[in-house]
Amino acid sequence: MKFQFKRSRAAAALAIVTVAGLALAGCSTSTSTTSSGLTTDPTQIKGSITFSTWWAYANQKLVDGFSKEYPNVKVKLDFTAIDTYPTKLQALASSGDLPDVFAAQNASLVDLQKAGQLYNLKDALATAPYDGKAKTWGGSFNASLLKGANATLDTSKGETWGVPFNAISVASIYNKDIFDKVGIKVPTTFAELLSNCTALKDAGYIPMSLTGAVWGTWWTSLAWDQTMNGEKVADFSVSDPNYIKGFQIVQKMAKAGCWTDSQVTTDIAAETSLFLQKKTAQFVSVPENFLASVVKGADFKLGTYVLPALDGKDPNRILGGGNANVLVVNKASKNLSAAVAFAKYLTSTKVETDLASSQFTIPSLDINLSSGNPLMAAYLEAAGHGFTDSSTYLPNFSTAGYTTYSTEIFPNLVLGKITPEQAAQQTEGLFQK
Amino acid sequence: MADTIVRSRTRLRRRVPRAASWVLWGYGVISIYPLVWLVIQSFRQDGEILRSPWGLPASPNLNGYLTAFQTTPLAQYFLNSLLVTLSVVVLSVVCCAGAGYAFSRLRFPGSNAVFATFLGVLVVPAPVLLLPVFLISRDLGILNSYVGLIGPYVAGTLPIGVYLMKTHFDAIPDSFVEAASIDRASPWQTFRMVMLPLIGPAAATVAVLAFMAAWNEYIYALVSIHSPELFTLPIGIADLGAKKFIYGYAPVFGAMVLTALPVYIAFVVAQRSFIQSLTIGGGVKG
Amino acid sequence: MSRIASERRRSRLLGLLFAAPAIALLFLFLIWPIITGIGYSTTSASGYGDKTPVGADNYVRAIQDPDLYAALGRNIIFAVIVVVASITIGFVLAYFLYMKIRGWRALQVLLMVPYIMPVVVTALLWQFMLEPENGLVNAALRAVHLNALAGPWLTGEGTALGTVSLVQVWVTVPFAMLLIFGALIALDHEVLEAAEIDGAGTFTRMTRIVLPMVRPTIVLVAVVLSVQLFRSFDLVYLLTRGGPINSTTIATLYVFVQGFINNEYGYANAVGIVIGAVLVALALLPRLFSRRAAFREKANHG
Repeated sequence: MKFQFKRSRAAAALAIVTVAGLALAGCSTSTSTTSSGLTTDPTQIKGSITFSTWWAYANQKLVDGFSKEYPNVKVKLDFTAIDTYPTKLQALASSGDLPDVFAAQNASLVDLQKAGQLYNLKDALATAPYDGKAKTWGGSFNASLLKGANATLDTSKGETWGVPFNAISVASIYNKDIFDKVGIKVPTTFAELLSNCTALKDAGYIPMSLTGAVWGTWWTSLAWDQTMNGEKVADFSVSDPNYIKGFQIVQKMAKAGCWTDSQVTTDIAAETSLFLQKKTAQFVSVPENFLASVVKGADFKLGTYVLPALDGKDPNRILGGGNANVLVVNKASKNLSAAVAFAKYLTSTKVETDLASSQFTIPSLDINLSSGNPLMAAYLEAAGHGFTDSSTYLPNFSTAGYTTYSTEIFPNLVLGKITPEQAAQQTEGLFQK
Repeated sequence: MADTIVRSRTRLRRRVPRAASWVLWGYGVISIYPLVWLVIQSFRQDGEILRSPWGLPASPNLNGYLTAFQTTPLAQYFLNSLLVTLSVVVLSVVCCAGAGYAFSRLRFPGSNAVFATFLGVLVVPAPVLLLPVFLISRDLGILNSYVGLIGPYVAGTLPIGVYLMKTHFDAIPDSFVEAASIDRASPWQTFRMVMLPLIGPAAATVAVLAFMAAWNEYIYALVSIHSPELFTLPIGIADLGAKKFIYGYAPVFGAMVLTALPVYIAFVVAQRSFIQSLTIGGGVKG
Repeated sequence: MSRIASERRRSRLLGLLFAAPAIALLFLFLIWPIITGIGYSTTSASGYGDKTPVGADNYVRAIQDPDLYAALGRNIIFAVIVVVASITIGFVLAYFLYMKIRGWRALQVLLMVPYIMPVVVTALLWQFMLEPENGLVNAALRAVHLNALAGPWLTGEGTALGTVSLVQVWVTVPFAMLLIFGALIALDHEVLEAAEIDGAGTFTRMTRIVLPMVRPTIVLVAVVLSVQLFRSFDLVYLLTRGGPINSTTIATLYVFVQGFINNEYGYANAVGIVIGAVLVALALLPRLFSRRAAFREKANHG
C-alpha cells in the first residue's frame, strides 16, 4: 500500500518534470537537466568557478566571452607557467582545492584520475554542445582525439575523464634562402629528408631542430605509427622488429647528421633562436605560439612543408596530441553545472575557430578549416591526414618510465651511444602495468 | 673610523702591484657584464633578441617595459616582494639573535638538544618540505597571505642564522660579560649593553642571507598564493617568461631588470653602513 | 646563595623567552613538515590525493637505489669545486680590495652583482652565454683561436656538472669575498705594517701572514657554504633541469624529480630522509675519526 503510494508520487513528480522540461524546450535546444542532475539552462547556472591552465593564449577576453551566454557565472582565470603547473596542481590536489575546470596532461592527468579527482564527463558528453552542427558534445570532437585524450586513463567502466582542447599538428618550417643556397628541395620521401640533412650539414648548417628537452621523442612516435600500425598492443614485446625499427629510423636521421649533439637538451627558445639566426635550416614545431614568433622575427624567406612518411606509408598520420592538451572537470567542484558549461564553451566551434585563426592552434573538433595564412597550410594538411592512435599498438609509458626514456634512452640513441636494439631492450619495464 | 683605516693604507698602497688592479677590474667586468647585457637587451625589439643576442639595440625603445607593465601588475608585485622580504629580514635577525644568545649565554635545560635540532633540520632536502608546509599553512589558515610567506621564509633562515649568531656570541670574550656582571647587570641588561652593540657583523650576515632567500624564492610563493594582488616578483617574471612567444623576450628582460636593480641600488646605498657594521665588530677577532 | 639560584633561574627563563619565537617557527614550519614527510614516505602517494600505505618498502628501495648515491656523489663534487674555488677567489679579491686600490668602493659594488642578481636572471643569462653555437663564451674563445676550449658546456654529459659548478662559483664568490673582507678589516693592521717593513712581498704577506689570521672566518664561510650547497636547487634546476642524461642531477634535484615529475611523492620523501641520514653520517665522520685517533693514542700510551 505504502509502496504504491510512493510510486504514484514518483510518477507525479516525473510528470511535472517532463512537462516543465517540454515547456522549457521551447526556449533552449536542450533538456534542462541531464541524467546526472546537472543543469544546462544558462539562466539557472550561477556562481563562480576557477579555470586553470598553462595555455599562454588563454586570457581574460577568452574567458569573458563565456559570460555573454552565462551572465550569472563568474570565471576566475589562473595562469601558471607550464614548468611549475604540475607542482601547483599537486599542492592543490593534496589540499582538496583543485580548480573547477582545468587543463592537464601526461603524468599529472594519469595520477589525478587514479586518485579519483576527476569528474566523469560521460553523461555530459551526451548532451548538446555549446554551438555547432553536432548533436552531442561528444560528437563534436574528432573521434580519435577524444579517444586519445583518455587513452592513458582507466576507462574500464566506460568513463570519459577529459576532452581534448587542441590537437597537435607538426610540420617543418624552413629557411627558403638556405635551401636555395644549398640547392635542395622540399623532401617528399624519407630518403630525401635524409639526403637534405647530409647536404645541409656539409654546407655548415644545422640541418634540423630537435628540441630534445621537450619534443625529441616526437620522432619515435611518428616512426612507430608507421612501422607498428596494425599490430595489437596485447602482443607487444620490446623485441618486436617493428618496434626496434622505430629506433632505427631515428638512428638513420642521427647518422645522416640531421642534428648536432648539443640539441638533445635544447629547449624551444634555444631552437627558435638558432633558426632565426639562420644557423638551423628547418624548425619542426607545432604552429601555436611558435609560428607567430618565427614569422615576427625572421628576416628571411619562410616556407612550410608536411613531413614525409618516415617509413613510406601514406598518408602519414600526425601526432594528434593524445593526453597532451586535455580539459578536465574537478569531481569535487561545488558548481558542476557551471564547470561543465564552461568546458563546453572552451571546446565550442566559435572558440576553437577564433583561436585557430588568431593563435594558429589546431582545433580538436571535427570541423573543416582553411587558413588564410599560406604557412599554416602545411599544419592543416598534416592534420587532415588523421591522427596517430598509439594506444592500439603501443603500451603507455609509466610516469617514471617516460622520464627515463626521454632523458636517457632517447638522447643516448641520438648521440650514438647505444644501438636501436639496445634502446628497445632498455625500455623493458618502463611501461604502465 | 673608516678614514683612519684609509689614511694608514696610503702607505701600503704604493706597494700594491699593478696585477691587483688588473685582477680586480677584470673580475669586475666578468661580474657585471651579464647585468649590463640584460639592461641593453630590455630595450630591444622582440625579434632582434633572438636573431642577434649580442648586438646593440637598433632603435632603443621602452616597448618591453610598457608591455611588461600592461600585461602584469609589476608595480604591485614589486611592493609585495618588498613587504615580504623586509619583514623576513627584520624577523629573521630578531629571532636568530634571540635564539643565538639564548643558546650561547642563557643555557636552559635541553638547550643543547634544541640547538642540535636547529642544525639537524638542515639535512632534509627542501622539496620534501614543500607540500607539508603548504598543507600546514592551509590548516593554519594562512595560505594566500603575506603571513603565509613570511612565516616559512623566516623558518628557512633559522638554522644557519641561529648557528651564525650563536657562534658570534660564543666568540665574545668572557671578560666582557664578567665586566657586566660585576656591575650587577641582569641578563637582560647584559644583552642590551654588551651583546647588542656588538651584534653588527652577525646581524648583517643573517640579514643578507634572509634578504636573498626571500626576494628570490619562487616555488613556495607560486604554490601558496593564488590571488594576483599578492603575487611576488619571481612569479611575475615566470609569467612573462611563459608568454615570451606571444609578447617576446623584451618584457621578460624588463621585468628581470626591475627585479635586479632595486636590490643592487639598496646594496649601493647600504654599502657604507654595511662595511661599517662589519668593521664595528673590530673588538672581536674574525 | 638563593640569590644566585634565582638569578640563574631567571636567566634560564629569559633564555627560553629569547629562543621561543625561533623554536615556535622551527616546530611549525620545519619539524612538523618533516614528520608529515616521514608519514608520506611510508605510502605510495603520488601527490595528487591518494595515499596507500606501503610500510618500509620505499626505504628498502631508496637504500638500494644507485641513482640516489650517484646524486650524492655529484653533490660532493659540486660542493668541493664551489667551496674551494669561491673561497680562493674570494680571498684574493678581498685582499686586493683591502689594499684599497683606487676606486675600491666602486669595485666592491661591481663585484657584488653576481650574488644579488635573482637566480632566474642568472640562469637565463648563463644559458644564453654558454650556448655552444651562439653563446658569447664560445664566440669569444673562437675569436682568440682557443677553439679547443669551446666545449658543449651545459649540454655535454661530461662537462655539464663542471659548468654548473663554475656558474655557482660566479654567484658565490661575492659572498665569500664580502665575509672575508669583513674579517680583514677587523684585523690588527699593525702586524701587517710590521711585515711590510720587514720586506715581505705581497704574495708572502697574503699567504703566510694574513691568511692564517683570517682562518676562523674562512672555516666559517666554508661550513656555511657547504651546508647551503648541499641544499642547492634553484640554480642547477633552472640551468639544466638535471640533464643532460642526469649528469647534473644533484640530491635535491633527484628528490624533486621523483616527487614532482615522476609523481612518486611517497618515494621522494623516503629518498629525502635517506639523503638526510647520509648527510648526518658524513657530518659526524670527522668526529668519529678524531675520537678513534684519541682512543688509539690512549691505547698506545697505555
